[in-house]
Amino acid sequence: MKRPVLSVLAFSMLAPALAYAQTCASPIALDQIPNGTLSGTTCGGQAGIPLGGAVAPHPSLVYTFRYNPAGANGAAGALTAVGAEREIVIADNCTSPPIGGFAPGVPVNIESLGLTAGNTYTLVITSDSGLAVTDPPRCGPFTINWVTLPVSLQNFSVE
Amino acid sequence: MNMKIKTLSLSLLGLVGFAAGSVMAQTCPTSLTPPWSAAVSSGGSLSSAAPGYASTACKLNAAITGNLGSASAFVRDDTPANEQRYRAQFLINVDNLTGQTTAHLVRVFAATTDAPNAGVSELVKLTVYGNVAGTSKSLGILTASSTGTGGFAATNIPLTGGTAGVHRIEIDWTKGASGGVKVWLNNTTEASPNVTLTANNTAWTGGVDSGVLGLAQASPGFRSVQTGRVVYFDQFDSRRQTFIGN
Repeated sequence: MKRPVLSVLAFSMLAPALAYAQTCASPIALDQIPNGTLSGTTCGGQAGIPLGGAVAPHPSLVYTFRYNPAGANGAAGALTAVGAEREIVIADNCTSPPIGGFAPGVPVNIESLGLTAGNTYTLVITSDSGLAVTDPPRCGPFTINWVTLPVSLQNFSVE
Repeated sequence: MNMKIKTLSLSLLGLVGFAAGSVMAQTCPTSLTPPWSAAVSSGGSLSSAAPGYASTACKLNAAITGNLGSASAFVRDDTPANEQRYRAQFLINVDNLTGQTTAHLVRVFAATTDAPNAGVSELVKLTVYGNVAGTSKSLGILTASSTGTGGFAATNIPLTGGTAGVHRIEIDWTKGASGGVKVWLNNTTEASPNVTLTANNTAWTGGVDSGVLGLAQASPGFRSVQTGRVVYFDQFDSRRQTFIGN
């Protein structure tokens, strides 16, 4: 099972250089990191993501993941964002209405969202959309924890 | 200059001029056309009912009633004709949309063009949705932009203030490299818009050709949870140049 480990290492090395590059035009594939934790800040992220009209007005980071239900290639499990005012919004893409949105610290059961196996979804880490846009922007640190985010192993080898 | 495009007050039914004392006795017409150019209620319901807001006789009731992707309940004003600047104002009450979350999204107004660019015909699009916890509502503000994600520059403003749940919303859309939209929410001071969203919309060759008021583009979450809940509209007014105010 070397490939997942290598993926984590690769991401860890790349993450600093990719800070704030997680935009709608250049999202990072989150499912490259199974059973992990991702920390960062939304400051400097993309503001005004349309989401079909449910606008994420505050600086936000954009990730993608490929959904595979439990029993397939991986297992679906809880996903949690931690950080004051930080929210998770899941949609087909940055221009589609949210499928679900989840408050800080509230575990997300990915399987409850009715996602389609094999499809790629967008995950936006943002701040509470109900809070007014401010100058300087409303943003700050966050941590995403996932127990078993759906993992897609394209192939692997045993050595 | 005060070039009115359309004043559709008193629930948009040509009832302007009825004294407040006669409001309750007024029977609201069953047809919305005219004065509106069209009334569309596929998977939705539209009606006029007394009383209106701000001493008007009648208001517009709109609800999504079917869990269909095309479900809508809106009226359309085709009076504008390639308008290079477009102001509009209306009243809205969304208090019936209880527990509205981010996934419960619905469009409440659009200023559209007959000459779309990159598939975008909405030069201005206003939406209502909640935060993820369902504890607050926001007015989503989007305007056509050649550099924005999906063809829109976008932001929002908390849908707060107003009187007894009724919010007064005014927009001022302009065309140009530094065009975009200004929005006043429960605010009648022209010099102080609540939101100024600048956008380059020169890629859109046309101007505003229609104003669309009501519910449309309801998200799956909205259609499954907010079905049958009535949103109220009133006092629609549109102009080319002059601030509408109060």
